[in-house]
Amino acid sequence: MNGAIALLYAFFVEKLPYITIAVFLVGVGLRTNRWMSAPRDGHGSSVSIFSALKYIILDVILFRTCFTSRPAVYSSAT
Amino acid sequence: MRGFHIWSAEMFSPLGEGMAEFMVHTLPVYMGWLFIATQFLLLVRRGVLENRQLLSFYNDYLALILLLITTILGQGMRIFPPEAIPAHTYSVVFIPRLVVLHLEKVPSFHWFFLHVLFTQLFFMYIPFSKLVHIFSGVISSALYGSRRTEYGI
Repeated sequence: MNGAIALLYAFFVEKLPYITIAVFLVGVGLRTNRWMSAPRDGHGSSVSIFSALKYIILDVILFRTCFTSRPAVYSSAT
Repeated sequence: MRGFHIWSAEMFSPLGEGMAEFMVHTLPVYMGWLFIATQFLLLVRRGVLENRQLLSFYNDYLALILLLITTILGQGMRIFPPEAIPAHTYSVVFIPRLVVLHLEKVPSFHWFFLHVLFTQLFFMYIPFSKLVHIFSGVISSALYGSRRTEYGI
């Protein structure tokens, strides 16, 4: 490995991670600002951990409601 | 994952030496090929369906190509012969005491360092692209789950 490439590779390991984290945090800041500036619908901002976990585990991961909430869609196909 | 001690032979040793060998050395190679094939398929699918069933933005391609390059470099690092096999682990210190990679082998330099570069480019690109759903998907699902009663759903 020649000197220039060795220096470049050292940069990828020793310096670039700090730049990566900085760029990532700037991006997260910009994205958060964009979300927070969206119009509100008047509902509260409370988060119920139990309801949230219940929804994520049962509905998102295990697809609980996919085949039961709209039975007409599937029954009409037969 | 092995470099960060999340996946190791010790984890699978109760299942037998053969199983540990398979989980640590064989399965990751096949998973790598499968991951590359999946992304390649998605790229071809996007190209074929473009202007017919979908309209892509440039970042739809950029996200996929960036991930594909990173994966190919990672797989290259895995399948090409290592530079050396040290007596102890080969440590790569990205951020001291915070992000340190402990490798059993010294990987092929070019594949490894280019993989390091593209992984970081991918990480930088996450909040600026649709890949942000890695985080926002959980947040929005949690908020929706919390408020379903409020919304009458």
